[in-house]
Amino acid sequence: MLFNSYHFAYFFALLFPTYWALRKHYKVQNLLLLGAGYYFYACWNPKFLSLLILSTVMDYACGIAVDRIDDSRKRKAFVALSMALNLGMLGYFKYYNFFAESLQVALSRMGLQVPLAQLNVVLPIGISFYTFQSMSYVIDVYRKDIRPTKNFIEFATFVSFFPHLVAGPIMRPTTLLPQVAGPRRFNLDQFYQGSYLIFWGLAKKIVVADNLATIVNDLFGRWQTIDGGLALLAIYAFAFQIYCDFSGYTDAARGIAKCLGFELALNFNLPYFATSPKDFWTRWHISLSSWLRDYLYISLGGNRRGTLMLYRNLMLTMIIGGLWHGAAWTFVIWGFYQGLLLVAHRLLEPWLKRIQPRGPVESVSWDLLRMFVTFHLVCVGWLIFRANSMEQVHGMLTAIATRFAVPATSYLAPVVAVVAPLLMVQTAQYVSKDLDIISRAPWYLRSAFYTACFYAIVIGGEFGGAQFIYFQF
Amino acid sequence: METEPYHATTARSKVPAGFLGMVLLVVLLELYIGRRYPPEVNGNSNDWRVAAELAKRQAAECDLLCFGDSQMKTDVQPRVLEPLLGRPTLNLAVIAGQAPSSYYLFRRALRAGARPSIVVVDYFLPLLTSNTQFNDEQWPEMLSLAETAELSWNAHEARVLGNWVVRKLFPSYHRRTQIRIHVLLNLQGKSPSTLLAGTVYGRNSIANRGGLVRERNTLNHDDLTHVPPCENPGGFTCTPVNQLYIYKFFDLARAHGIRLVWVLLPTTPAWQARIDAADPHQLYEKAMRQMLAQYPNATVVDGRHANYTQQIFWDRTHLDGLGAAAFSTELAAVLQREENEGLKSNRWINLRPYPGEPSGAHLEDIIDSCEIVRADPRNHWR
Repeated sequence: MLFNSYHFAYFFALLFPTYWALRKHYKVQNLLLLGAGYYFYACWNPKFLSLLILSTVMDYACGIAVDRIDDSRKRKAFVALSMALNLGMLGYFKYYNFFAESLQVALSRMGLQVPLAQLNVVLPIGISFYTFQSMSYVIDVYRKDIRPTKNFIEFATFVSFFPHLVAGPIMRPTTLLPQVAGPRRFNLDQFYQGSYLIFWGLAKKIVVADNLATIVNDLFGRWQTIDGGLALLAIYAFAFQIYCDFSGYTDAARGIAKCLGFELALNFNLPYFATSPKDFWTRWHISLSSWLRDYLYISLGGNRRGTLMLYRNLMLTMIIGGLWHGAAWTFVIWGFYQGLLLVAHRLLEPWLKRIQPRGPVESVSWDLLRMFVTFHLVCVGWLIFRANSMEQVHGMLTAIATRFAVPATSYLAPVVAVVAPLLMVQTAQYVSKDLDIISRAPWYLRSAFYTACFYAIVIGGEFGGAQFIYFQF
Repeated sequence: METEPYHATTARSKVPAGFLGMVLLVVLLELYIGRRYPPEVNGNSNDWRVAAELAKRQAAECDLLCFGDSQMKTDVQPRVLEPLLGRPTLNLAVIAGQAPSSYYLFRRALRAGARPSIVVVDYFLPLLTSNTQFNDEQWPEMLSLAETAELSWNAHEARVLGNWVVRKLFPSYHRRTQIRIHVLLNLQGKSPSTLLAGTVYGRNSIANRGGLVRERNTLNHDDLTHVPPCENPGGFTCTPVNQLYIYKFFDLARAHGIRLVWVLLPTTPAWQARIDAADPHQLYEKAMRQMLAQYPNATVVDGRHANYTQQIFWDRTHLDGLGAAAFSTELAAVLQREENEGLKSNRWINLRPYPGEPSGAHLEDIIDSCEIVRADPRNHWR
């Protein structure tokens, strides 16, 4: 069930009044949310609901066991059990074919022909998100960051909370569980904010991402025949497509959660205004990067064991983060590339600080230059991310360097038409340092803005019901 | 710049003034768009609207009614049938018509007082394999809210009802294709034509008592070099909703004691050869024979192998005006013979070979209608 579908509209239209009609009985509300979450998930494939339930039951039990046992070895064993189950499911469904195929290729290069069976399985939707979230609960209990919940319904509701179930944001137990465990009050202001976020999220998805998808698919599909100008345009278009697709989803998810009285974490904070790769990762998919930082990077030792180990940990974290996105070498290379950028930035940081200009005009220009460079470094990453092979990456970069021509208006205009209004809004948000600038504008400006968004969706939107890119991860 | 998310919180009014302002603006704009983009901007939409009106206002006076899709609409011409059979005839087929559209038009005609002795119907195979989404833009032009709710229920698709409501409420959504075309044309510095396709189609349809008369098209329709092998490979799968509405249509005819003629319309010889080789069409034929066994009031008139030459086709599947006149003459002969001799045990009748262009038949075709509308845009309905 997609947020941008009639099916979801009916589902939510039924759920919302029922949910608030039960406002005096939050435990019944939780049951309703649990049922809604399972229905929402089962709409894709009811068979895979069993995986979600298995992960929930196991992590609930492991959480309680870890809390009750004092023996540190046994506690670790339960954490390991939880991780083995979650990562095992993830590995089986997402990575088995990739590793089997890679191993087979490697062995055949050594002259060994070892036929390895390929699995004919579909990737369960959202598995990367809910396994990470469920697993982090057991780790948090182990670290004594939270007390485990004794109420299974509350825990199951936390794991299967439908707004963020299949594409995040990955919520921490410390943030979401207390919200599930207590009563929610209907707050008109929160409802308005939620409605605005749903509206804005759908506008980003349907108008920007889905329109750009047509151009991106076309140009990436025939990359061998396009010139450098079109190759560059394809990369720019993909950068905004993936941003609006994913951030549009999480905006809608946050909006839906707000309408139900929940607060989900901010997942995107104007990422293309980042002034360094490090800054970018504090603005892009914030819930994943902070998850990787807290549960992987710090567990690997973080920056506590010297500079070399710090670089190793950064690289490992980013490579695993890349692999999290998908089972392909291009994702591994993308993660490696992001790791390299972070390491390079750390190395250059003292020098960058030294040459930073002091005057106001120079300072703004310096920031703009850094944004420009960071955006283009990120774009190279998106090329690796979107390409089907490294040959394609090489081919498109070569075209940009050697066969550049300004794209025709028929290509340029549709991209500019959807990206320019988005950038105008985001520039206002950046300059005012206020992500909620629209909802705080005078009523007539808000009316005009909402009307423009409405007609952008109705007339300019793509209604093919395109799936969100991050569902595949 | 701080990278921490920033959300200054301020107390807000309990009245969502921005939202209410938007509602007001949207209402005003929708009213404007509704007037600026009437059904006539879209040929298909206007066709469905005109058919719905004809079913309500003219069907009661007719003894022979035709239902179906664009093949029926172009190939069977009431102006030819009427003098030959001596029966008032009305063609209520619609472009891209599906089984539910035929059923609802038939039911509407009966409710308006029509008591025809014969109904002629066709079901184009590719449309039987499509779900109701295929005509999302057309349903609101024809169906009432109650009929849409019924279709939605029968199709097990809440989307059908949602689509109807949204399109009725928001003309901008309903006419988004035309608005987008206009915006694109304006961006390219071209001005959109003031001659609305729907006006010309509507004029032609009313002038021909529901039939649509196509102009001559001299292209070689038998050249299939660039045409993909055949539609619907891999078997004939009529969607459940279409199947249900075929039965409902047949039941309705039987309940009112109306003779039902199911017509298989001709296509160009080369295209027919391809169709004959494809499994789906053989399965379709098998399904039709099963229907015949269940409904003794039904007859099939099969015109597929009557060798209508490609010169009298407008495209591969639709006859032009002369072809339609020839086909309608032959159909009239079959209906007359059946009328005189009564229903036989063999109720699958193959149409006799194409006899050549009929003499003296002139029907107002699309080009004629275009001229009439252009000459007198306001009084073209006469």
